[in-house]
Amino acid sequence: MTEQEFQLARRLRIAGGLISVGLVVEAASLYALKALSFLAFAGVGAVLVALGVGVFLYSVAAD
Amino acid sequence: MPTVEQAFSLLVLVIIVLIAAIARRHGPFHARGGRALAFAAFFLLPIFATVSGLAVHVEHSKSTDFCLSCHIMEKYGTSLHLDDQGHLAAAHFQNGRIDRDHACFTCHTTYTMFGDYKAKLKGLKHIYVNYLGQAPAKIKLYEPFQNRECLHCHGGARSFETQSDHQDIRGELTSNKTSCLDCHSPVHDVDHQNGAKLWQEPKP
Repeated sequence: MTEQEFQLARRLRIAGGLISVGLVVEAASLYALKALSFLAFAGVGAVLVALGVGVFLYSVAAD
Repeated sequence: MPTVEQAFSLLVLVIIVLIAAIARRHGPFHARGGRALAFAAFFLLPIFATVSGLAVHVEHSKSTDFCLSCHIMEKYGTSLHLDDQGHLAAAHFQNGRIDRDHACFTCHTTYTMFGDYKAKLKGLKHIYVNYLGQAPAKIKLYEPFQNRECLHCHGGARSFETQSDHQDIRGELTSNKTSCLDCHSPVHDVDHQNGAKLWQEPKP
């Protein structure tokens, strides 16, 4: 594996981790009818997903 | 038939499995179609899921439980259970004139999360203030209560239209020159309900 491939794999794992955790938070937040659950969705889940998507786009651009 | 929450969870599971498969063996990323698959798993599907989840949350925000989950709204929830049919909100809630699961939204259709984008921003501010800020001692509507919330159901109803008091001022009611609440009050008399007898909602 070249250094470039290693970096790509690492970034994909980071992006995947962020997106996965974000989506799990989003899914969990849907099971409660509370304002706090909306806060968790928007303030934690959606932010993590956005970060993950950002890391992925950077990986693709840098590859 | 799965609930919307279960369907969302299934979508999340599919996305995570896809992401894990691609991230674990990044080889396919360079293969034909690999980038398209990665683009779907890391970009399109997560954004689709997040937008869908947001729509579900906006729908959830119409529920009575959602509104009453903020501490400052608890006394308004109590006002729905006052054992006094002279209170407008309590009479509507207890007699099934409104959907109990969407009691707040039924009469406040443009309030915060339920209105346009400006109203939604106010709703976000309310959530922020509830958890991270300082709520005012007394809360009030941003604008006077609009008769259209009442006329949405009562307008055209025989019992309403044939009432002589209503006939005399029908135009004023439509144009909001006279408020329905001028005659039909109190609505949420939250300052005078401490210790009042409450109606117990029957269990189905």
